[in-house]
Amino acid sequence: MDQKPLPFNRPAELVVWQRFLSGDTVAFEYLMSSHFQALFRYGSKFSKDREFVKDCIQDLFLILWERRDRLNTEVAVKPYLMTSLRRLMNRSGQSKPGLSNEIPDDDQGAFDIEYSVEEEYIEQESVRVLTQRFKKPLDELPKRQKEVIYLKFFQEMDRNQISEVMDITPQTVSNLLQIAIRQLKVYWKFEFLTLLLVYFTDTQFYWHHSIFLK
Amino acid sequence: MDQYKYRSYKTGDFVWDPFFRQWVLTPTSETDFFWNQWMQENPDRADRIHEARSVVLSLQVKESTLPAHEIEEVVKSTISRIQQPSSSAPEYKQLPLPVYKRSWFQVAASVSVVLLAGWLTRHSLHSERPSALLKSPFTITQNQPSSVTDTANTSSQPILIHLSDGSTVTLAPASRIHYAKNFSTLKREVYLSGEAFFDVAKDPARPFLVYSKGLVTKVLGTSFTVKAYKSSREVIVEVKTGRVSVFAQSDPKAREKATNHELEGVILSPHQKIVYNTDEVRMRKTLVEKPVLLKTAVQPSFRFEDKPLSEVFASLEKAYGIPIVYDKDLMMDCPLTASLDGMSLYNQLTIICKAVEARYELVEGKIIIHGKGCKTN
Repeated sequence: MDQKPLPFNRPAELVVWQRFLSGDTVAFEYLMSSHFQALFRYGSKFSKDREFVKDCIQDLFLILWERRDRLNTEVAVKPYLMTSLRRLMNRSGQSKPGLSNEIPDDDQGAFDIEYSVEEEYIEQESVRVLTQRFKKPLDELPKRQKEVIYLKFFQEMDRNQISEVMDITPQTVSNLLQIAIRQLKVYWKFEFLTLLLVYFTDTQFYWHHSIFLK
Repeated sequence: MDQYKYRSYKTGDFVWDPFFRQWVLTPTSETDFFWNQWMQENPDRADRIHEARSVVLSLQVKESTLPAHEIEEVVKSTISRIQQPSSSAPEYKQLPLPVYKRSWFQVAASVSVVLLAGWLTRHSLHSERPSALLKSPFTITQNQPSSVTDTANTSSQPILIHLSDGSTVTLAPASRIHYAKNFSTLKREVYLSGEAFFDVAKDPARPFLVYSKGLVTKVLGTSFTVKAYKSSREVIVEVKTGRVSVFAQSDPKAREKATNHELEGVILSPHQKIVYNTDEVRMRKTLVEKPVLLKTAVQPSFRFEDKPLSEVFASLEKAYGIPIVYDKDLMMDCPLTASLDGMSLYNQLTIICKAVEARYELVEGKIIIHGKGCKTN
């Protein structure tokens, strides 16, 4: 057996999805296995009960299988699965019925997320302090803004995918994002000024300084 | 990307800039190029970039991770539930789900999906379901279903499977095979759904048969790929080495063809492939996309200096094992000077044809050359 390298490509998402829709159990197994971890992580943002999250993911795939002859053949698979899981959990859980499509602002949704500062990337103490400074306003965001930030920056989804997942209009996504980012930056700028006064490190300071001297 | 807006960016702006994050978290050669260049042009901003980079990398979402065996357990139990249809169906009927959102257009669209799905199921029933398998004319071991091995590849990497006769199967992701743990003394049979590469141990007394969506591929010892996806209407067999025969399972003489020790039906040689359309019950023989050189002790040279075309074609035929058909009377003496080393067969043919004002086509797994010749110029 001299030739080990194998001539197959990784199957394209959409091809697997369409095979799933056509009733292929191998595609079913592949789809479920390959998305389980990501779905579990997303589901865990809505419930801390890991068995409940697992059950919901199982139900999700059973329902999709049951309805496969009626599902859209052209979907962005991952966001689609995330949306469906979110809705299913909303219905199965004890959360309030009827997520509104109006501008969400408060803590109505159950989304909860925790950020951590990973030590392995930190070379100096100052970076740890800095990172903590970024973490704080993130933790203080209202839940919907938290979710929008999470999907945008940590799942790298675009506006339309986020609107699909969160079941809000793309315009609402933009609004939420704008508010959230402004919040994060305002907080940061304020902190930054104090930091500037203490450490005298920012280049802009020198720039201002030199103008002042002229 | 406007590189100027980044001049005014502070650390915090970089941290929440999607293009910057993308570079830090999943760099590509394009983003690398952009940011390295930007830093060179803006050396006074290096500190900000460095800081923002550290923040993006170290600020992560605390994720709970499910161990692999737990995932596997849930998947297994889910699969067993869908395979007994009565248990799962009723209680979910009422739950509304997204995507097929409320318009007539989509209703129409889904009707066509139902039709297609129905068509596909009808067509592939024979080769897919284990229960149906056992009823097909070629059974593995009718009385001991436990001796049948069922392997599905649900990972994203191909997996290598060793069969009891010394043959190996490389199973593509999202594919499945069924086979007997111990092959019978008469023949070796494997059922495939999806795609696999077979390297079959030589055993002329026991033909090796691959069943896939109604197509039977029979070999005595060789290597080849079969693609038989449930969602596709085609089965494709590509031969790498040796020779295989291919025939439809619906062939009235199929049973006989499977057991005798000769290769009948459509015979495929290296680099030939066949596309079996389950829709029309029609076979189309052609060449693989990229024929490679046959394995020989000496690498053939394709440097020709004032050589007659007959000699050139003969060396190509020998190197690739593909027959080349041309009008000898007209063309055999055309002189050719060309250096064709390191090129693909099709590129070599294109160049030769250009030189002698001919063209080539692929018919039934052979190369046919059409040209006017160059006798009296």
